[in-house]
Amino acid sequence: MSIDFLVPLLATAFVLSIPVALAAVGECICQRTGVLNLGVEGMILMGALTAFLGAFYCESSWVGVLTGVAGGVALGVLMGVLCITIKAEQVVSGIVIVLLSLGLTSYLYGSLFHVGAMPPRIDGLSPLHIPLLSDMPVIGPILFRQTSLVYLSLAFIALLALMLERTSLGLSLKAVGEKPEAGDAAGLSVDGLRWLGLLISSAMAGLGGAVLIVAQLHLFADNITAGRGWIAIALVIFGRWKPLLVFAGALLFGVVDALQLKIQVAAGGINSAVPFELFQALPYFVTLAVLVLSAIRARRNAQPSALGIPFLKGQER
Amino acid sequence: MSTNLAPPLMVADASPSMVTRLLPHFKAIAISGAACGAALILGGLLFTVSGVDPLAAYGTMLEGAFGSWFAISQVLTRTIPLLIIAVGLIAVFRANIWNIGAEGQLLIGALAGGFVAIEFPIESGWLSIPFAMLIGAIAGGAWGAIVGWLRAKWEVHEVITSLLLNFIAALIFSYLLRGPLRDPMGFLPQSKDVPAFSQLPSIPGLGVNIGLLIALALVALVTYVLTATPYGMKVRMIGSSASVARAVGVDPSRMTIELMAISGGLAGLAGVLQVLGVQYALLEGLSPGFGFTAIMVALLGRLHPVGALVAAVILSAITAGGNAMQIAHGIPTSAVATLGALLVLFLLVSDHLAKRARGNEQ
Repeated sequence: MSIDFLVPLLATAFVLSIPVALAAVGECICQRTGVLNLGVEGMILMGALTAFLGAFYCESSWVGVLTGVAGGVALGVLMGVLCITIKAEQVVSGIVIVLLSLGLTSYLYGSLFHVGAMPPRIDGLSPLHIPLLSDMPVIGPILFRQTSLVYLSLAFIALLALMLERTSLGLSLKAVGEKPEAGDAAGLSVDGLRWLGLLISSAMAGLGGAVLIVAQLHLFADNITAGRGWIAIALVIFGRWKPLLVFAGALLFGVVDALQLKIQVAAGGINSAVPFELFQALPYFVTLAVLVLSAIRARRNAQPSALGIPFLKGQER
Repeated sequence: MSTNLAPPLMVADASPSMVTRLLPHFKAIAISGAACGAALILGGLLFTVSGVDPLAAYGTMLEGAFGSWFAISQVLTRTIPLLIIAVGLIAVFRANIWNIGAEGQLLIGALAGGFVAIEFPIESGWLSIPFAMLIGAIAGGAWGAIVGWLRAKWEVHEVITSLLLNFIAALIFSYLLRGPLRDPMGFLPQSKDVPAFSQLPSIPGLGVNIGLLIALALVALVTYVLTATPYGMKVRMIGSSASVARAVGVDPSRMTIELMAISGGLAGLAGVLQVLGVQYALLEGLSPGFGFTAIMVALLGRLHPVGALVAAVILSAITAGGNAMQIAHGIPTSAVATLGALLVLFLLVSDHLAKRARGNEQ
């Protein structure tokens, strides 16, 4: 494989991995607190829509980023009310959030835009060329010619990983995911910390949706996230609930996704002899395979012991 | 951890009077009713986003769903797949297995069943229809069993696997329609028509295909199995505690695979019936998200087949009404999915409020 093929491939892979990486690292933190946020697909989708609306109506990509985060958080609050405040089953809450988001985003977009043949577009962010670094061979085009939002996302991911692994707050978050009763006895607010984890997760998912729209696609369509949220959840398992491993997994996913796009084009797109659906299915296949392999390797040993179990104060579970 | 949506386990040898036995059901219905009301109010607010008077929109919706015999038959036709999928989902959900892959299982079932009906016609409806149904159910069941097997064997989370398999099924479906199964004479990517003798007959006077009878029979059968047989007890048991189940000789792994195969099989059956009884061909848009709407049907029906029957009719009516609203007011049809999700959401909340009220009584 030549450098000419590899460099654009990896540059694409890097951008494609960011939305999934944000959602996955957020999800990772949330799961460490014991909340299985299955609504993340819905949160990315809602973030994507609200980011598009913000950027479209205010004609500013950065407003779009803020509204994107807000859209994700709005669903996060709803999910929190369901599964933390009123202790509804986490799996059911998550599924409801996804179904609601699928319907609501399509409904809002459809009623606001009456889309015809040409969907409305936003300008989006253009890539920065970081002086000196972007001129480096190979690494330059891959890493240093991205939009500023991509670098901001990387900073968030690094900060969250650091927070979880190196601060006392991170320790508290992990404690309520492993032994909520003990955490409660030690004076930690279990539900409060879980709320924090869920809000971080939903904000990161919303930001992921915003990156998808503002930095990559510049338009919205129904179900535009196409399962990225579910892939993010699979990556958390693949990364064994360690933020940096999860991030590495997301980069790997980006490579697979970029590869399938490249092969699709190289094979002749819709006219190719090899069905393009095969390539489109590749990310889902790989995710499924990775999920099964990580499960075979580890069972669920690495997962937080209280994952998915609502905390009821003063009650044995 | 047992799901808080299912009615509580009945104690086998207690024989309370009719009234006390039915009371929780009435309560459940009342709570569901209140939740519906709240969801409809919020949905009405949403219509104002489209610039439509909510009352007028709901009027159109009712009219579109029940305004004529034709409208009613459309509602009932749409009830068939929702109900068949939902009774299967109820069985797995009660076992705390969250299959959200019914959409993919439906497509795979429709493909397999439709394929044999179209490509290997047996010139007798008495043979060809049951044969296609069987093949479709087996295919959908196998697709579902993958999920069950992965969970039973390596504890791979069924929600994620079943959902990922949805995407793969949808891509297989559209590839086959675009390629090998495509009718060369057709303009759109769709298969040849199902031969007339393999098309499902209508119930005389109703204008609904006989799939409705199959759906109703399944409601009765699943209700019986889940509430009156040891198998139903086992399902609940593996849902609430695998270790207890093992202690009394129930194999949770086997049950998981079995239940996923049943649930997938019913979704597959729903897919075949859609091909043989409604569309008469394999085509894109065969399922406008039946697999997802059925999740809402199962949850709204409080994991009881009879409840699902009511919920399926309500959600089909909303869908039929939604189409009418789109024509009359330009409200996007996704309003229906939104309303459905709001219904489930409010049901979850009202459940909590009811539980708290009970807590205060004691």
